[in-house]
Amino acid sequence: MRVKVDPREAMKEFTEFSRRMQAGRELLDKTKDKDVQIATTPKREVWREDKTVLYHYTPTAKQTVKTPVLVVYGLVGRYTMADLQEDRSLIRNLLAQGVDLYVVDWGTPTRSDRWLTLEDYIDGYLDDCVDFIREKHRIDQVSLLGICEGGVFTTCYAARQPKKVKSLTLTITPIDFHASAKDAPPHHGLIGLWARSMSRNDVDRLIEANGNLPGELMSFVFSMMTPVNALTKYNLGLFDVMDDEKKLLNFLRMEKWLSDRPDHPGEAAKQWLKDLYQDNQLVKGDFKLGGAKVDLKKITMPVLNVFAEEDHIIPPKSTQALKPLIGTKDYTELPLPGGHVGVFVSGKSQGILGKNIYGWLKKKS
Amino acid sequence: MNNDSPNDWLKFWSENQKSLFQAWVEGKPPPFAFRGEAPAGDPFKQADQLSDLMRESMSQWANFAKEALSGSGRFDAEAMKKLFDPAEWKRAGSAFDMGLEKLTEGPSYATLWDLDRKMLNVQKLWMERAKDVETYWEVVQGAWNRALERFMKSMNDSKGEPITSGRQMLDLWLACANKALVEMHRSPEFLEAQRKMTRSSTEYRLAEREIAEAFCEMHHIPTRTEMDEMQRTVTELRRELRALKKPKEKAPAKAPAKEKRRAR
Repeated sequence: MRVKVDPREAMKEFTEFSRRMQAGRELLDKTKDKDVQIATTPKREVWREDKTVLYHYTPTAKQTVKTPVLVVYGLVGRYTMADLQEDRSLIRNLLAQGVDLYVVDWGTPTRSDRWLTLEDYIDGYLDDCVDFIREKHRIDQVSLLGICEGGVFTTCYAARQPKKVKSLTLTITPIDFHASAKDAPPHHGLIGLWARSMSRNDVDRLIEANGNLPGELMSFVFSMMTPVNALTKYNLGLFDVMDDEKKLLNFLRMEKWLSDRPDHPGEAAKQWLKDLYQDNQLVKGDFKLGGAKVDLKKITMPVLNVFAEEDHIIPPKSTQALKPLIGTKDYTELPLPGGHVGVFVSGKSQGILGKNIYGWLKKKS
Repeated sequence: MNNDSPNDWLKFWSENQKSLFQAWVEGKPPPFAFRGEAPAGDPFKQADQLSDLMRESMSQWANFAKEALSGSGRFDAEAMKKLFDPAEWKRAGSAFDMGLEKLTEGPSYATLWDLDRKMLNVQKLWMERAKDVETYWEVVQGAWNRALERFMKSMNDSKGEPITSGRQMLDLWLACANKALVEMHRSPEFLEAQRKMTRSSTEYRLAEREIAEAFCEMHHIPTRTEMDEMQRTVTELRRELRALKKPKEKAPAKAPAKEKRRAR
């Protein structure tokens, strides 16, 4: 038996447990909703169509990067991850260095949006946002910064409208949906495995039954990838941070972002799951939007590809697959420590991410 | 305003019900006269025919139920227990399950009882779903069992680092559990169970929708399918409208800017 507990140490541990519980209870008592607001960087609405809204962030420094940057998140989650809190915000970081920033918010899709396709988002709303910025600034090209599924949107857009894109920054973006390293930890890439275990008809029926891909279902899927963490988050995880105000507020803000997961429009979800996750059409060159194949060789602008070394949702291999597929040699990879979300919200990666993206944008703008 | 006491009405209603059931059991026409004009032909003969048809039908259904519910061919205590035991409902291949299977395949009269058949179908799908959920949880439970085995083995491993606090012990348990659960999440058994559960839950939900839509149709309320069709039309119209507006709004970015500057 390995258990060798000294009764005095056990008493100390119990005392510490009680102290932390008491301190945590007091902290939780005084914590109000306003203390855990996210995405608070000032911005104003400049364009809207249906549920899609384009925001322009209020500059906080003299503009040092010539071309405005449009931040594009996907439909699985919200752009607010890039602006979680003041000291953990890629948005604030880039604004402080003089980048002119826009962000597109896809809104909260409901059942009425079930027929929206990836074409509607990429060739429709995203193209309209880019055109708005081009016209407003009287420029030909806009720089794009895609995050996760938004990275796929911007990749496809850059391939379809290369003349409108000055530079392409991708973060934690899946390109090869079947890629995984042989020595990857077992919890890496589970979403791909689960998506492939369903038939195409299963996906169709799931969407038919629900209209959209429910955000709650996606939250459940994500939590299953780290099962014990999901099960112990609100007891052990909370207990570990509850006596430290800063950590507690970080925890609560993160939970706020995680719980705000909109439904993914049904038809677009079918394309996402069947064409990309199941059939891996993007790397095969078979992926079609509006009847035309997305030719990644048409991506001729400079590309910065940022990925997380410990990303269990989008394994690094999936992101790195882009390099040989595009038509530019001006390609830079930036591996960062941390996981999928950690790249944006962890204290460790904050400085590195913002500084590197800014430096690259300044050179390529 | 009717001044009859409620008790009189209750007595009247009870007597009528008793007479009606008595007549059905004995295969006789109902004891009260049909309202409105009498149908052509001998009314007593027609009523007898209807009664025979009903009796024959009931007899068939009773046989189905008897076969399904009890090996002895009787509605005995064991059969009743199975009928009302929720654990039986979700068990694969139970007597109740087979009984329901037969009941859903029971005699039908053209489009009559269409809604009833839909409801029986939903019941059947619900049981399939319950069965698949149970199988899923069996697979998950297997992982928890393996986690416990590994934890106990590790705890008894004299070569391991000593565990000196409750937290260390908890962390060891959680590490064992996480490893076993993630392994399970990659296993073919889990993938199969998850697929089946998702599939049967989806089919159940779609069958449930059919009933909801039948209710909507009955009560002049638009159905989900109709709403989906309408929303599809609206989405397509919005798409067309965007396409029509685009060339007008989207002027080439740089050229007009230069022209404007020149104009100044």
